[in-house]
Amino acid sequence: MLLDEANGLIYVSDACDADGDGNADPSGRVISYPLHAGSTISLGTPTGVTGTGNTIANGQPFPSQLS
Amino acid sequence: MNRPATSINIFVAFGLAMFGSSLYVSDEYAHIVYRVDLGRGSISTYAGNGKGFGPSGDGGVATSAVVPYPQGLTVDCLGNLYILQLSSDIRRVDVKSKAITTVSSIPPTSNTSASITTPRTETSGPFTTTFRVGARPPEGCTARRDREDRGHRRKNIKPLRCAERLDRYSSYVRPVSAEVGHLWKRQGRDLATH
Repeated sequence: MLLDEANGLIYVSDACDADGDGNADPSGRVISYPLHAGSTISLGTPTGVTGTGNTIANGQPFPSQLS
Repeated sequence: MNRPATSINIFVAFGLAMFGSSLYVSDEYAHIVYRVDLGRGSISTYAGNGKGFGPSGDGGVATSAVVPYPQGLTVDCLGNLYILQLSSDIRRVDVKSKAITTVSSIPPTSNTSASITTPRTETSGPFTTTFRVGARPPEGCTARRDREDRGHRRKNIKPLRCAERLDRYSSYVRPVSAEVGHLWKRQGRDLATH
């Protein structure tokens, strides 16, 4: 994860437990979230920066928030 | 060769580092470090020839070198890229020549300061150790820092020291650097003897 303060972005090496084995699986994507700063800090809609994305064992697309 | 950044298949995006409009991404299983041009949305290989074994290629162009299992990345204030490999070796890609060298080799089974066997140089000035090895800040960092400090004073912004900026973009290597930097500063002598 990388914070880009100058541009208000957080870059993330995306991963989650895609196959349910309890281990993190890489999605093959780097995504960025815009930081919305107010009384609290929240994240905006993620954008794919690079990577086409991996598939999981059954050939299904990697579950991701990105379309 | 530049390609659209979203068109490339990345197996395991591990480390991230940024310098200017360049975002560096290590693909651990592809043995490659990519550079993403955020302005153009393009991607190109920055280090690694895609092979996980073979002669390191130290001293040569980074894109022809073997960079096995690159993980953590960080960039110094001049833009030189440091790559932490699974083996615990740290490689450095010179921002100007794009040549790659090994700046630290550490036995992977050890995680203590006593195991450091690589050449070291004394640190000086306000800088602290960045990696497990005590390294001087890159040539030019001081001048650049001074220029930036003057700019920050005009803007009434607290400037960051070079070492702070180095730590800022460290993720994987940061705990190590903080620990060893502290030890180095406190003990002020050869870490290999402790």
